[in-house]
Amino acid sequence: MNRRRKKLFLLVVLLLCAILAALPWLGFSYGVVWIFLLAVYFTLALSYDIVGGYMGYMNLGHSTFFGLGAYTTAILLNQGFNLFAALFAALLLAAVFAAVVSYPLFRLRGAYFALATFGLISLIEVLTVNLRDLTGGSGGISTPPGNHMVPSYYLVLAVAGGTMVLSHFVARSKFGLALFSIREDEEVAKAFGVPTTLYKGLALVISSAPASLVGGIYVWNMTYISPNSVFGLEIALSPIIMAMLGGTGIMIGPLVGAVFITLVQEFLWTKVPYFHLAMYGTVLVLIGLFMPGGIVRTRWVKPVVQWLGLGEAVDYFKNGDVERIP
Amino acid sequence: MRPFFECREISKTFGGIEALTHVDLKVEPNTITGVIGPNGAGKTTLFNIISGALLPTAGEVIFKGKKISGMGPARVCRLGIARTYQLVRPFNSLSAIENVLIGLGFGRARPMAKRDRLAEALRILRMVGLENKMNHVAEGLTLVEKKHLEIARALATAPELLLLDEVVSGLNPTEVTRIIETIQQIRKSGITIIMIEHILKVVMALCERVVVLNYGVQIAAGTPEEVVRNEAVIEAYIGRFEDTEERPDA
Repeated sequence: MNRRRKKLFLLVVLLLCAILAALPWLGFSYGVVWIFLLAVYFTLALSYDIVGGYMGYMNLGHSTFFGLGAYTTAILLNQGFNLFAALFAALLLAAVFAAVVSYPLFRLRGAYFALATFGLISLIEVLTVNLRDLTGGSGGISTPPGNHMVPSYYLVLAVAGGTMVLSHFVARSKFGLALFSIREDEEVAKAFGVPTTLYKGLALVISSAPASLVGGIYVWNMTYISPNSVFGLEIALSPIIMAMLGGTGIMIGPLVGAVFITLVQEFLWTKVPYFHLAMYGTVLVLIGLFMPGGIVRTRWVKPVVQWLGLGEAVDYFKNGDVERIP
Repeated sequence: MRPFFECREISKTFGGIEALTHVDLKVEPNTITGVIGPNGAGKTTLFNIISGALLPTAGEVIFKGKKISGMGPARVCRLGIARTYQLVRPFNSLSAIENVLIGLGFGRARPMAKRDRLAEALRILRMVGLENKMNHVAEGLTLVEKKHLEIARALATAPELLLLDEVVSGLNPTEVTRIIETIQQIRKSGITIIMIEHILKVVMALCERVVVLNYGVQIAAGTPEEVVRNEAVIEAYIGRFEDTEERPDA
């Protein structure tokens, strides 16, 4: 049973991959754009979840890494660097930035941490507006023109896939277990030897990597960004809302949330423009009231998720290693 | 010979309040020492200082010849002092076995090989009688199970000294018997125990030595039999009859 289920699961995943890979060649050009944006938001939501869900620190400033990645890539592309070198530099810069800010930020907890990280976005935004020679100021920055839709589509899917693998292995690792323990009770975790300061910083650095990469790919594709487009409220809040709507601290949650919100947005977009902004607020309130665990933890969805073997980290054990021990 | 564990002249003040004043405590290896005293006597503060969660205002804690006060809780834990909490604090969303794995993976001076960790975690859960609940989320366990889980998590760090903070409070008589058995078993395995306890029956049954605190001051120490007959102790617990109005030092 278990093996057959695994086979079925693999088959569905492979099928999905095949469809996604074939999409640009089937003439669904709008679908490609749509999936591209979905994957960008999904990657942000999933990488946010390493700190926000696994570790329980609500990092409202996650989009700072996205913006940093985007600006670094744009500036380096304009200097004539190749895309991969630029992306690598973006990754490195965001990681160093994450490591540096983690020290003061993780002295705070709860709402104070969330607010401080939120302030981080404005800090970097102000920097980009004022460093006019480097970033083009409030007018934004353009990169060498060209149609990169299809390659950037594949790239962003690869990063999204890589983030899923990363998130999967973090959740099952000793490191991940330590992050969960920090979420549950940081003081006790510390008393039992978990190196909390180091791990919190490490988690932030890890979560910054995918965000900075998609930022770079995003600007390569769009060829233009402004401080408002990468440091705006939309890009800061929607990944977090996706993660919370789907379910935080569980890998499948951000995926469900991202697909759900982008689908709903798609319908609202054409009928009532700008309504999606009001919707975010409404959705947040409704999540808090009716499904604090997110969609994947509601009564009807949970069994399906568990059957697929995508449940809580706790459930992984149930189906995994422990049973084999005498 | 150097003592196994010693608190020397520990004092702790919170603002103007003296929670502990010059408390001395010596513990021989392989014994159970009870710390008793009325509410607010400073018992848990003493535990917080021993486990490194708080710094003493004055005095020092010596463990196997090393000064451990000021080291921080993580290092104290790795040196071999583990604790439980008065109000249970397991990692709620984690399963029982994962709770134990945290202790195994992080609380030891030399972490175990990955391969052996699960087997060891199971062995410890079996010792406290939770092997059937290993995949249950800690939040869903009953109070007595949570207390056993806390003991298991502490044992996972391979402690030489175990601090038990009121493990018996809130349990019914059957559960009390069960947890007393667990404690005796732990002691047999060569682990020294200091326990805070209110219930005298438990103290009498388990402890070789009892230390009594009142308002942060050690007012008595000795065998349980000596201590329960000590007048200062009786006064601290139930007061004295005739002096309510004309106590000279009040």
